[in-house]
Amino acid sequence: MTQQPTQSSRFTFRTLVLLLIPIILLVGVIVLFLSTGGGLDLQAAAPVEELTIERYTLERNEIELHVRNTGPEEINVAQVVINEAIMPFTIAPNTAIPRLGTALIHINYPWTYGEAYSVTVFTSNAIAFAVDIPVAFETPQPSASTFWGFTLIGLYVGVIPVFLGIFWFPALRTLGRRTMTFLMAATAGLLIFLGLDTLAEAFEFAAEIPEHSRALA
Amino acid sequence: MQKKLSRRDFLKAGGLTLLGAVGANAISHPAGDSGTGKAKVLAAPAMQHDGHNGDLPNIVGEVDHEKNGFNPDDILIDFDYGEVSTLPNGQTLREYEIVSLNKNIEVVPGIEYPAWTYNGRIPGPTIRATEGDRIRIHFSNGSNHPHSMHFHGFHPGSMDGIPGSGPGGMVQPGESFDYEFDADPFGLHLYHCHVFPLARHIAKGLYGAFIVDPKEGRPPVDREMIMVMSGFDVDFDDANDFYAVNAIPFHYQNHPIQIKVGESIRIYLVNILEFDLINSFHLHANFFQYYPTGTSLIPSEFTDTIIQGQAQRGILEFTYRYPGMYMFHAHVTEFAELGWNGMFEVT
Repeated sequence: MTQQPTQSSRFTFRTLVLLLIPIILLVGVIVLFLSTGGGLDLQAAAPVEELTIERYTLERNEIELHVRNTGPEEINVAQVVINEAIMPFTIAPNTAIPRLGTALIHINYPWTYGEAYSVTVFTSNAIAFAVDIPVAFETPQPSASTFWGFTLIGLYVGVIPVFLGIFWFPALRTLGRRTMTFLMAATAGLLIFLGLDTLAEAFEFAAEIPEHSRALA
Repeated sequence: MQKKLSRRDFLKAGGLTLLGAVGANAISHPAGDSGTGKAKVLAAPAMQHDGHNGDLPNIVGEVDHEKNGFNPDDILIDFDYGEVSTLPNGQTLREYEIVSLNKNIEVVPGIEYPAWTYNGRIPGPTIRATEGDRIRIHFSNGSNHPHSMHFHGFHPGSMDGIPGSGPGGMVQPGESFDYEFDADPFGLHLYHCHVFPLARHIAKGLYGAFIVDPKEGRPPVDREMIMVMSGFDVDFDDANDFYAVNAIPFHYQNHPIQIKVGESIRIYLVNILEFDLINSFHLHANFFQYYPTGTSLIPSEFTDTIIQGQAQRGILEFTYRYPGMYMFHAHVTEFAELGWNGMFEVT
């Protein structure tokens, strides 16, 4: 009323307060939720279970599953079925897997190289979680040669192409300013595309991550 | 520029979601990550399978028979002759009390199945009578779904136990009905619930064997057993997850049936398996006389493997010549490895 707003945007104490108000409110809401539960009493009508089979490893006559309970409640592993046969198994550290806890399921099973297997884990609520082994082969153990192999791949796809590309530079310099600008624009475009493509792929990958540790998607 | 913008958006979106996730996690239980997954087989001794079975398919552990309220060892030789009296016309009357109950049954160790049962057991009581006896079943429905008892055999339509056949066709929760008919013809029959949806009512456990002995009786044998083949679809996808004879998978594999060399054995075998087209019975190192449906005293076949579709049944008679451990199982090997496998220990 009394003053006309000035043209320049100055950071004043008033701005700071205005910025802080939503944050203070948010903290208040969170505290309220934590202390009261927000008045929600959401009991699942049926058991909600989620068991993620994070990894399987095969060794001669052995199959091991690395599982994680990614559901909201404790899970009890009851039985394991491989290709339509109930198989004895051992589980460590315990048949009861706490929320976000992991366990290792060990099955003695005479699997055959190159064949396909389906392993189903039944929880005590008769909920089945399956993992497919499309082609059975002994899980490679990390060794110096595998690390060297990956190092070579890095060299081939990351270092050598860049190095070769640099050798174009003397020739490109002689092509003049307009051509150079065009090439730079094309390069920038390519980089943007790669950036977006990587992002899209990251989202896709994130969607496969167990729900509990998913911050995206 | 564009790339920068999208990265900023990405961070913003990510940050908000992260905050949300943190909040949600904090509301529910505290994290209990034991983080011991990488420990290599800490060996759980209680869960170790028994040595002599090696890597054969088997369950881990033992179901709680006491809590289940029945043990396949008992069901094997449990024949219910009912409460016997004589009617004014001289006919023998056999009366049975049967109640349908919802009951959680531990079908394999660690998995409880919300079963429907006759008298709290699967299979239901093995009703046994002699040809021409009067059967009177006092059926009451103690569950929260309508059920019925449909017998195979001769009887009037009103006693058929199917929806539309009168008050006995669909007995409502809390109500009861008396099924009454003459035991006829002699043979091995069965009964089951016939209320819609039929496949579920059967698969959930509402079935049992019904034996009618011929008037003059069958030739005596040393031991008689009842075996009802069925399965359990524990995840309700209309496909069986576990198979068994007398309900509990691998029970007679882990608790072999004891018989003696030279002992004559008669098995009343009924197939009530839902969802799968056929079931079978194969006896190791032996042959048996087979009487399909038990309606004749002359065997139809001398064999070691027979096939039964749903509700088919038959009587097997055999004797072991040599001592040893002998398997009997469905020669649909998938069923065998999913639980329908047993052993005779012959001494």
